[in-house]
Amino acid sequence: MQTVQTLVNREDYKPGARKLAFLLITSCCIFAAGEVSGQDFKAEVAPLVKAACLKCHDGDTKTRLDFEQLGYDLSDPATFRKWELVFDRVDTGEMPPKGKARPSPGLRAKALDSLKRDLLKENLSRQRREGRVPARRLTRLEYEYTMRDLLLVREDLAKILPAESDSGGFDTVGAGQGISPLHIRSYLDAADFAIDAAINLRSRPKVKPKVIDYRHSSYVDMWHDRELRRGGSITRKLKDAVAVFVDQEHILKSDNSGLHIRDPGIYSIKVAAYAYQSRKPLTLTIIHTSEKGGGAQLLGAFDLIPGKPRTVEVKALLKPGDYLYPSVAGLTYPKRVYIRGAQKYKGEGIAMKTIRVEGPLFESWPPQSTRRLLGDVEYKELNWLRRRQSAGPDGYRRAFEVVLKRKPLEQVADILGRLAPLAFRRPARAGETEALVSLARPALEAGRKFTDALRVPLRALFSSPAFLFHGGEPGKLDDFALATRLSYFLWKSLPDEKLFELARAGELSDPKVLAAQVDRMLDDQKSMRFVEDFLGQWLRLREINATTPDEKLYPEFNEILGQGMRKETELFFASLIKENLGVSNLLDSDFTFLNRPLANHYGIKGVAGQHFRKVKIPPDSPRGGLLTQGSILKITANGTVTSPVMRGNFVLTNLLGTPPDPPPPTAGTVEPDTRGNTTIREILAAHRDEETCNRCHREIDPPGFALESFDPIGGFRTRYRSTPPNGRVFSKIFSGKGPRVDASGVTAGGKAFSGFSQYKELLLEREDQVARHLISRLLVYATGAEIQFADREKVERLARELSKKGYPVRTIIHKLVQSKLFRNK
Amino acid sequence: MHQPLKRRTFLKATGVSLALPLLETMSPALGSAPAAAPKRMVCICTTLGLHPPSLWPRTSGAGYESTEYLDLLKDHRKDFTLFSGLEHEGQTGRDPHNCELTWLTAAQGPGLGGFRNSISVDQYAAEKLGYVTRFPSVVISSNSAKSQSFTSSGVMVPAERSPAKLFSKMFLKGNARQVEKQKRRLSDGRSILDSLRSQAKKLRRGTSRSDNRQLDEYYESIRKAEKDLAEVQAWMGKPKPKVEAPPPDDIRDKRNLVGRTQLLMNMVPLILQTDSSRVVAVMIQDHYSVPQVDGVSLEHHNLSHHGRDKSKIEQLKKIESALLNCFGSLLGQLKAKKEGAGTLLGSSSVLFGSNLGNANSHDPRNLPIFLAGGGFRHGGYVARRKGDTAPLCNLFVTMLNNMGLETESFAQSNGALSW
Repeated sequence: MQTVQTLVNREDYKPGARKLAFLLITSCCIFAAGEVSGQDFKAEVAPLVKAACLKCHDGDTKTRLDFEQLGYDLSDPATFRKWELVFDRVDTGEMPPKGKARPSPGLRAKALDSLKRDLLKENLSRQRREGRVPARRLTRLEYEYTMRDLLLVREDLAKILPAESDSGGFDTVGAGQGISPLHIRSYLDAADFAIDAAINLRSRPKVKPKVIDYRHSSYVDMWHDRELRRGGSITRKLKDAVAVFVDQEHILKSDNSGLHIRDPGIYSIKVAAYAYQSRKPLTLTIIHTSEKGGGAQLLGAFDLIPGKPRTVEVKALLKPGDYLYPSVAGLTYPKRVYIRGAQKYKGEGIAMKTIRVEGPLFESWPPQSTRRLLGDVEYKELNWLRRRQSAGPDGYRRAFEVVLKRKPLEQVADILGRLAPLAFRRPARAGETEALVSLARPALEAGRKFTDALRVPLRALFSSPAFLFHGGEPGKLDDFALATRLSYFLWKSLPDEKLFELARAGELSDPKVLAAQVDRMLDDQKSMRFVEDFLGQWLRLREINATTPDEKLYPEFNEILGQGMRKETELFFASLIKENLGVSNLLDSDFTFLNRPLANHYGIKGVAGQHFRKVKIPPDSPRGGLLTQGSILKITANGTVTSPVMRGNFVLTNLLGTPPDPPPPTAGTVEPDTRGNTTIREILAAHRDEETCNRCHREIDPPGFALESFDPIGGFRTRYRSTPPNGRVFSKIFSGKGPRVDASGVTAGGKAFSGFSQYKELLLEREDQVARHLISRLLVYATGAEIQFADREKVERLARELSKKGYPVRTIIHKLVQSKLFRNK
Repeated sequence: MHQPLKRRTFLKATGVSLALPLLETMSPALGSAPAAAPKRMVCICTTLGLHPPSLWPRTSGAGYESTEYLDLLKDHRKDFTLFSGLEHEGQTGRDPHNCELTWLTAAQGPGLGGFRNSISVDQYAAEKLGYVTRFPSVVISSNSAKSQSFTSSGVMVPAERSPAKLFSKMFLKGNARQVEKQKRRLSDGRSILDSLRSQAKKLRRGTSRSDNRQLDEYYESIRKAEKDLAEVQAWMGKPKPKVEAPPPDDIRDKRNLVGRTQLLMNMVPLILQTDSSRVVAVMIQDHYSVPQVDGVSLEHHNLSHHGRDKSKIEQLKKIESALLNCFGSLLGQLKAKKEGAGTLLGSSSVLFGSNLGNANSHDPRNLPIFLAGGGFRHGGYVARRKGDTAPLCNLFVTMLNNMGLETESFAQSNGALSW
């Protein structure tokens, strides 16, 4: 009865005999599935439970598992998860725990076999029935990139949408995604915003370059002789420039000298400057910030070689209200300037000559985004009177008018006809586009302007389920769904014209074609979006700025260094893909990517300039591999002190894929004590004597101990730093000495190591495990579903295949994309 | 308008008026004095805790011996109760500060694998109340768009950071053109949602079962958003309340944490007094800047990990004292506003506290919890012995019931808290 009903309903939307036949097959599967969810394993597992588990896991249990409550119906997802966990715990020998009665090996093996069989059976039948991956929506980052590529707009759309919730995994995983009325309203707003940016009929922005000559700026002039305590005297007027010695913004801010940004767009920003009173290269930075607040953003950093004046250029997206300033960064002893003023200061500084801002830069007007969206229309420039009258409800004056070549509704149909298949990432189905187009009709009939009426169907399009969700039919993905999954994996955005073309021709699913596309996509700059987003979540690089190091203990840290750290890891991973290098590089490598500040930080000589490049690590350096990169070391510390627990947890969770259980509710946390009498190692030693703690901490602590050789900002150390007695630090070179670092330990497997380099060798023995974890992380990220019971063997097989070659990363991506796991829903 | 919409609007209208018969007379927009003061809820969290030795009294009950921190609130001693031993279970998350996310929700294991947040107590109340006020809830924060308010699907409600913007949204009329534009967008929005709803319906019937959870949630969201838009539209037709207070000037400097917090505290009485909303959530947070408080030279978060270093504790106490003074000033303002026979404070339950019991060790237990106003009996310190804890959710249940939102449970509660 129910099946018939389903069929009738489905047929409404998918007419056609072939579809019907397919549906009949699916429906049969649903029937068959009803039988699978049986309790075959009960007979073989119940004796084991009774013999070995019930003593602790019964109705009175304090654990999260109670066998008396747990049913045997595997078709219930919650029950399935529990039995899956039971399987794992017994299979690894973790349960029953040491010292408790053990079941006979025969009983155990029989129970595990039948449990595994039924878990597999149930999982596979579910996957056949529903697909492995449930529908997922675009993340807010994917939304922004999609709109950027589709509409050619560069606005910060992600910020308009609700934040992705932190479910401990990837935000691409549907099971962790929420959608709320708030999303719906935000989608409407974000689309509005994007359309406003895309359809630009304002007057052509004047691109006359604006220049501030700091030597002759009357605003800047006020400051040279003003008293110190009133913020002056920290600059010095030179013949051709203004010398700056400390990093500050109020004097050089572009808006204060009358340079305002009026039109949003891409600008060219040039700064002319030279190193002053310096014998070594200095760093000139260009900082971008906004009236609306929000942290300053580093647009670029450049080396100034003494005696070589330079004009440097960056291009950046600027919006009304934004301002810029050039600055010095990383100078030694700057505080002396604050005490005695800059007039007779002998230290190094930067002489700022001019800042020149030109833009917005565009190729045509109205801009490309408008032309591409509206299609075949003409633009008529309005005379001044019409311009004045043209201010519509959206509040701005138009300088151009759209002249249609056909009826307005036909033009709407043309636009939606082009956009909908792109937005849906498949050909539009019967009636889909029409339903959208018809939304413009009432607005047009009410006499609203064409572009205003067009807004209604466009907002609907960009809030529609077919745009927001990746779905697909159970079974093998069709070429369009494959193109979508691939493109959101490697580009975080919709497929480009080439991918669509191949999907339309039905060629994409050809393994050779698919492989060629993967190569093309990885070689495209857009793949950095994948690298950034994937690492941002897998290695939590997004949290690089979550803590700011204690400036008394770590005066050498600054924002440029922090940003550089993230960049290092991204470029490092990107090079593994580009050069198809093996996974072992994650654990130890003889190269990394550095610029001058980061190289200085690592104590590696011979790296000049602000640009990142591949650098060979000298043999005597402790660097090499992810764990020695500043980014990871900083993320796993709290800014003031390092915690072996946090770092150990990172190694287990993010690198080895064996996250420890969260501490039991009764566990205390270690209260940091930086007064220097007890080290964290001593405190941890105490709790490792307790078995409840030790069960996990014997795994967690050792990698953390090994990493104690690195401070909270990733510097190598042999001694801890401690707060100087008077608490005042003037120098960017730190001198307070604390106790010696002891980075030795014994792994859970009983292997002793004397320090990080020996630990690294032990870690390298676990390359297989790291590779398997990377493969499964990539799979989860790319498909949007966690690894399921039935997937494990497939991942295992994939890993075994790749192990012979040493798990080259590009090959991993290729194999993954070719696998059924990726190509089936 | 076509037929089904009318029917829905009608049903909704009756639903609301049945549940809240006093609605009409309560509306200040009509200018009449409220018959009975509506009940309100304010939840304020300072996310880095309060230094325990400076807070907790040694003796309990009505005659408790005051402490350094409680001295700051001595003018209001009779208006609040301090609780110890309240907490949520299972707050160890991936990051030790993740319990910020669950202070008002009590979901367990924040940020750990597969975590999904649940509805926060303020949003629960807002959902129950609906649009009896122009804004079902107001969510504000001192520093970022992050908040502690979550919808039932675990989505964070973004916080408003700008008191000026909030003020203008609440009390200023806006120019005619903007209003016109907004109205048009709203009515466009409704017809868009109407069409999306039928798209989703079709799609849902055509897709596999596993996809349905997401699509159901989407469908529900569309339906709810549609309803919301109708309510918002209805409110747009009514004039905004007038207040005497001048619009606030935002403080741009993030380091001025105390000034920014004070601005938020000044907004709360305006929101409640005009009955613009009955539910307000405030998050005070700025981990990574050096608050401009005399004698403070280190970041707030850094100081919270004082490592028992005396000079750091001194600085930390300066920040926390300033924040407690902000709370005190809110109580003062609420008390000063007369409403009917009572005061604004009398009708507003004000929760003030933190998600951390001891920030130095990231301990999310034994939370510092104040409850002020709401017509409760106050003046004491309700202490629990070490180990004897109660779910903070019990207090949430008490607060909900106090608002007339009868419920026996919320999240981890096992009853209502009485004292």
